[in-house]
Amino acid sequence: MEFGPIVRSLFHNKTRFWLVTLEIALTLALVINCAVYILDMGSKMNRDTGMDIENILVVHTEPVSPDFKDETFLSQVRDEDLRLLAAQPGVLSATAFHQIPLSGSGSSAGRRAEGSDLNTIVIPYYLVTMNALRTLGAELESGRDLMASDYPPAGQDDIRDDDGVQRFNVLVTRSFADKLFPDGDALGKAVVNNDGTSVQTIVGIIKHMNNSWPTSDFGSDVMLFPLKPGTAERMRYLVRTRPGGLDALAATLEESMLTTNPDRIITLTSLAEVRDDTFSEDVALVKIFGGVIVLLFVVTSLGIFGLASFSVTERTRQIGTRRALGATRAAILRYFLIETWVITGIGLTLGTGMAFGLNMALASIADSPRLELPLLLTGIVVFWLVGMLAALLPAMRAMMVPPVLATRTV
Amino acid sequence: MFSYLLLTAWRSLKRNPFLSLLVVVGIALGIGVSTTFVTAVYRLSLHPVPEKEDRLFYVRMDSWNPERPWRDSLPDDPPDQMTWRDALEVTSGDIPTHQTFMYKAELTVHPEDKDMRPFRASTRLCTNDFFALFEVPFQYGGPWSNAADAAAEQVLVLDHATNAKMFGGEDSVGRTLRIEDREFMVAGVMAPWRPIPKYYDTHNNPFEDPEEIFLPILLSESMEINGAGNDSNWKGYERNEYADTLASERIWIQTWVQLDTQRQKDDYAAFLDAYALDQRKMGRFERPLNNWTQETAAWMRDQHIVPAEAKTLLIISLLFLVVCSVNLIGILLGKFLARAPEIGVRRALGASRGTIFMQHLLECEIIAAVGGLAGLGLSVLGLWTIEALFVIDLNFKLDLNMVGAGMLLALVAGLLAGTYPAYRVCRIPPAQYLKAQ
Repeated sequence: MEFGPIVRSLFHNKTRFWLVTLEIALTLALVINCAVYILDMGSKMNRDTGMDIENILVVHTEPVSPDFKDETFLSQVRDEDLRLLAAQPGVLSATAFHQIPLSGSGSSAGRRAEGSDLNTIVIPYYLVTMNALRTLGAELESGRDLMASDYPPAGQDDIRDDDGVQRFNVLVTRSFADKLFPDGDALGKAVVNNDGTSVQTIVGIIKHMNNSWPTSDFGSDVMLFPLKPGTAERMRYLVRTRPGGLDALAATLEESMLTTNPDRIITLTSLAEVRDDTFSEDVALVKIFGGVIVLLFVVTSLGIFGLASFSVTERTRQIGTRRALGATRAAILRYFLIETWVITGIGLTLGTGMAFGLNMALASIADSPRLELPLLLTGIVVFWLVGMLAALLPAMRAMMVPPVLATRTV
Repeated sequence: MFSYLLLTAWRSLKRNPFLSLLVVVGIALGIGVSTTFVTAVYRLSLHPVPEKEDRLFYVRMDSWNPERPWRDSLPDDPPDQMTWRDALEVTSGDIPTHQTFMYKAELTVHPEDKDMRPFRASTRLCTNDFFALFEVPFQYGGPWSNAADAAAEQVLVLDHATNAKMFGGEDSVGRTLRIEDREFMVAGVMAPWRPIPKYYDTHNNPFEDPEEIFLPILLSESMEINGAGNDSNWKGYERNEYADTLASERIWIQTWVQLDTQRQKDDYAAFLDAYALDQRKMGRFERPLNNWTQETAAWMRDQHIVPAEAKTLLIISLLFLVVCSVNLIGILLGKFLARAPEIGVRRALGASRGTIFMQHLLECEIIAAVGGLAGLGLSVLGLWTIEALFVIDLNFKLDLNMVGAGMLLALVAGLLAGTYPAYRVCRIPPAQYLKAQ
């Protein structure tokens, strides 16, 4: 085919050829590195939370009366609230939580395996009333759920043994259990804080659920603690409804809760909204990176289009001559498309190296995600197609050059 | 001569309007994207109070665990907040020009109007020096008195919006407001004030609005107020009453001082160290002596006000401009060389190389200027988009600085991109094209 002449003629006009090659290479490097962010964030956002978030209503209550500073009063209101919530039509289960999963704010503590020399690791925890798993829609993998007997007796806020060591039964997620007990035998074992003053026995293992920081590297580490939450500043409940029942519940809930106790400010959101809020910044970044990619393609298509146009204009007479000597229209079209194909190909080859270089540079400045090969290959294929599309119009113009042009002077 | 060159350049642009538009769009996109991100990062990293750049200091003291540093990853850094007892002590001397210690809380406001529901107001507990320290503008009245601080009187300062909400925007000085279970008297109402970032306390959200209500901090003791910001603690304590928290090693208080002279800076540093050594005698401050008065800019850097992604985007946007410039060189080169026969004639008729060079460079700069203007328009759109997407107020203005920087960037890009094509075209030998015709 015309491969030889095409390449030789390309080198005839070196500067412009190298410029477009460089532009394509740079663009590929930038596009790929923007896409790396998008994919990374997308995979973080789409991970399974382990919870039935579409059907869970988050009820924030902020007491405004000093009555709530009294522990007994506070715990009465909590019990009444939980009864009221559970009795609402369409409600499957309701539980008080001291912090809300997926919300970006939470509590955590340091724990190590009892009797082991493994390091202390951070464990996000939630103080919860009964039925937390049912309310979350999370699955118990082994062991048992928390029971009434796991909670401190009425009037007490702690369980301590004779030596003053705090002792509780807890649920943990599989992910956390495996970090402290790599042999997978966490059930029935205990975890302990640094100075040994607080010991928790694992009575059940949750298959999977996210904590308040789902995108962190400990996003699935959770410990559920049998302690009734709530302070004079705030009390929070999660309420799980039957599928689709959330809006109906939210419509009337504030009013019925204020009838139980009017001295509080009540805010209702769905757990799905809480998650979207937590991710709003990442979503914004995804949109920005996406926008930059689109603009890069626009600019570089203009460049390829421009190069192909000049290449056609300059060679109008030669095209006429070739046509006069018997070249078909298809042959002319093919010539210019192959020319673009070669230029794009060289640019993309250079760009592959640049993409990796830029990725490493960005990783050293800002903690950017790593570039994976499949993404790079996809980028190359898409780019090749974009390049061909950009050159199509000028190539078609070339195709239409009449053979008679060869006989005329310009 | 210049106007003739300008005219020729303009004619040449007009002759191929589509190509010229292509070039202008290319440069406009480059300028638009890069000025957007340069402006955004610049706004984020701007010093919030330039006039106090080297006089405003955030105080950090290492009262942390003798066993391990506050952050394992930053072993040389003292904690980012202070204990109540230390903050109270180190702001009670007379070395700094202004000083305050403070924290954020959420308190309930009970409106007199029974139709209004009680609401939670973000509240800052601080001393009256807060307002002088951070140059807070007042609409009515002013800060409460020193005596009010000392006696923990029930007085407050309202922000502009809350005064509008509670008192219809009138001069409310002397009127009362019920917060939690107490009556407070309004001492002052702030004029609209929105430092970006909220540098005096960047914990939680560095771009949120300042608090709605400001109260004397010593009220904390009798009102038993819990902070609503970050806190951490290395040493557990039995909390039976509120005072236990104030005496604990829990860090949750922010401390700021204004030191105007070198003398003050030296004296205050010596004062902090002496205080820490004194505490060591009582079994506290067991870590190596490490007390900082940190300049605001350094403190902002430690707080990562400019997110890592912003830096990535800045780099990507500048490379985007490079792509646009390379694109520009390619198109200009083609555009100019396509004109070779005409140039040949003009050269033969006596136009010097310099004239041809200047004419083409001028053409590039016209393109760059038009592209720059369009790009500035795009960057305003871009900044609005960023503000809308991130729900922050960058408070950017299309001022002389930004226009100047954008245009300069455009003209430099035009010059860089145009030089080579203009050089190539002025080297065209006249004879060759005369022959070809």
